Amino acid sequence: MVRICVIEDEPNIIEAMRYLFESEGWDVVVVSDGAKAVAAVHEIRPSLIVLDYMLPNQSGLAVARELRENKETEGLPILMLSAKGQHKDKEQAQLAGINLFMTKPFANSELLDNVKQLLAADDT
Amino acid sequence: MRLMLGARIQSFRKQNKLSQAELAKRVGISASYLNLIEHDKRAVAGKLLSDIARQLGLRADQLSRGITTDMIERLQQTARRFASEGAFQPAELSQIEQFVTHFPGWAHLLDEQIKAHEAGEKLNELLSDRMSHDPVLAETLHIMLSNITAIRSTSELLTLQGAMADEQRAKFTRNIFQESKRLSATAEKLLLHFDSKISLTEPEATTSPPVSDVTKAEAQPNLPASVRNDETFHHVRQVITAARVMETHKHHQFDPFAIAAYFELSPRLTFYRLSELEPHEMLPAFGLLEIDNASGVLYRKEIGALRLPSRSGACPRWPIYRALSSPGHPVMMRMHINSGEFVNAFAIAESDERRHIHLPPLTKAVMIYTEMTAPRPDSYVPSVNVGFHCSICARTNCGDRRETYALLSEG
Repeated sequence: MVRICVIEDEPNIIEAMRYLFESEGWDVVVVSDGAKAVAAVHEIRPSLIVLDYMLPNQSGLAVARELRENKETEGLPILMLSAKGQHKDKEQAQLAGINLFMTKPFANSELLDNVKQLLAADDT
Repeated sequence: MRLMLGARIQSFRKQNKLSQAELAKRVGISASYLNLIEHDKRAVAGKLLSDIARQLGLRADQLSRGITTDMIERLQQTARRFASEGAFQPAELSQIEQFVTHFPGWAHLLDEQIKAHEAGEKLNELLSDRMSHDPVLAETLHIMLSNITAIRSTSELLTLQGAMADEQRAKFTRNIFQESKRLSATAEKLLLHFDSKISLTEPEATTSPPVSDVTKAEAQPNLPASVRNDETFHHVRQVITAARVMETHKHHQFDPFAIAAYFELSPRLTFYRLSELEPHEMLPAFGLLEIDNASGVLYRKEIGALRLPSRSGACPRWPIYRALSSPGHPVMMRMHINSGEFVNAFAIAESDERRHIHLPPLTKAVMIYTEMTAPRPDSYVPSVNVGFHCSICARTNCGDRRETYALLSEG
C-alpha cells in the first residue's frame, strides 16, 4: 500500500492534502515539526514524502539533507512544497536532494500528477 | 555609439542601380572611399551623409534611422542567449546587419522590447533583493501564500471532488472561512508595514529624534545629534582608531566593554565609535541599536543576519531590554537567532534622572553586536535563543511570546 508522509505545519493545507491522498486509497501520515521529521520518517517508512520548505524548529531543506545522508532513506522520493519560488530556492532544494519542487499555491491535480509520477519512477 | 550606415548605403545604392563609382562621383568622393564607408571602416556624417542620402532619394535621417552599434550589440547578445538555449538558429547570428538594414523599423521595435525586458528584470532583481532583506515582508508574503494554498486546495476539493460527506463538506467550508479571515488580517498587517516604511521617508518631526541608518559612506552625519554634537565623542574618535584597537586587542579581545574600560571611555560613546570603524582582518564589523525607555528606536546600524526593528518592537529576550531595566549594569549575551547564526551582544543603559519632577527619567539603552561562530561550550556568557518579532518568529515553545506567530494564528 502506498504510504505518503506529509511534513507540513499548516493545519488546513494538511487536511486538504490528507483528503486528496486518501481519496486515492493511500495511507497518509502527518508530521508537523521539522525537528521530529527525520525520526518519524524512519518509523513510518513511507513510499514518498511531501515536504514543506519552511517548518518550525528545522527547515525542510535540513530535513531533506539528513534523509539523504542516511542509507535507509537516501533513495526516498521527496516532493518539496514552498512559497519561495525563486531560482536560488529551487537550486538549494536540488542540492539538498529534492526530487521535485512545487511552488505554493498549486492545483490539486498538479500535486497528484507529480506524486504519481514520482511513485511510478520509484517503482521502476 | 557609432551609426552603422555602410550596409544601408550599399543596399539603397543597389536598389537605385548605381555603381560605387557612379555614386562616389556624384557626391565628390573616390570610389575606394565610398567602399570603406559601405564596410563601416570610415564614419559618415554631416554634409556628405546628406549628399549620399539625396542621391539615393532619401533624407539623411531616413538613411540612418538611428541604427547604432549599441543596438546591434544588444540584438546580437539577446540572439546569442536564445541560441544557447536552442531557441534561435545560430546560423542567423551573422545576418544581423542585413536584418537591421532591411527592417530598421522592426529592429527598433525588437530593441525597445529587449530594453523593456532588461528594465523589468532589473526591477525584479531589486524587488527580490528587497524581499530577502526585509524579513517582515518576506514572512508576511509566505503567510499569505500559505493561506492562499489552503483556500485553493480546499475549494478545489469542494468543487471538483465527487461525493463528500456533509460533515467533511462543512469542515472544509469552515477552513476556507478561517483562511480567508487570516488572509485579510495578514494583508492588513502588510499594508501597515508599508505605511510605516513610507512614513520613514517623510520630513523629520521636530519633536522627536529621527530614526537613522548608517552606511560606510555617510557614517558621521547620520549619527544621532546627542552623539554627533557631544564634545566627548570627538575625543573618543581620536582615542579609538582601528589601528589602536587592533594593537591593544590582547588587553580587551575586542570585547566592547573591555575596550571602553581599557581606554577609560564611556561605554555608550565607545560603542558608537566602534560601530563606525571599518572592519579589518582582525577587527570585526559592529552593529548597533539604541532605544529609549518607550522602546522607540533612536539609531540602528544593521550587520549580518540579525534584523533590527526600524521603529520599535523586537524580541523581548534581546539583552538591550534587560539593560533598559537595570541602567548602569552591563549585559552580555550570545544570541542564537532564528536563522541559526550566533551573535555576540553587549548592552548597557543610561538614565537621566535630572529632569522635571513630573517627568519620568529618560533612559536610553544601547546594544552593540558582532557575528560569531558557535560559542565554546565552556563559555561563561549565556547563549539564549532569540527571535526578531513574535509575529514572524517560529519558536513555538517560547515562554516570552507576546503575540501569536502569524502563521499559526487562529482566525
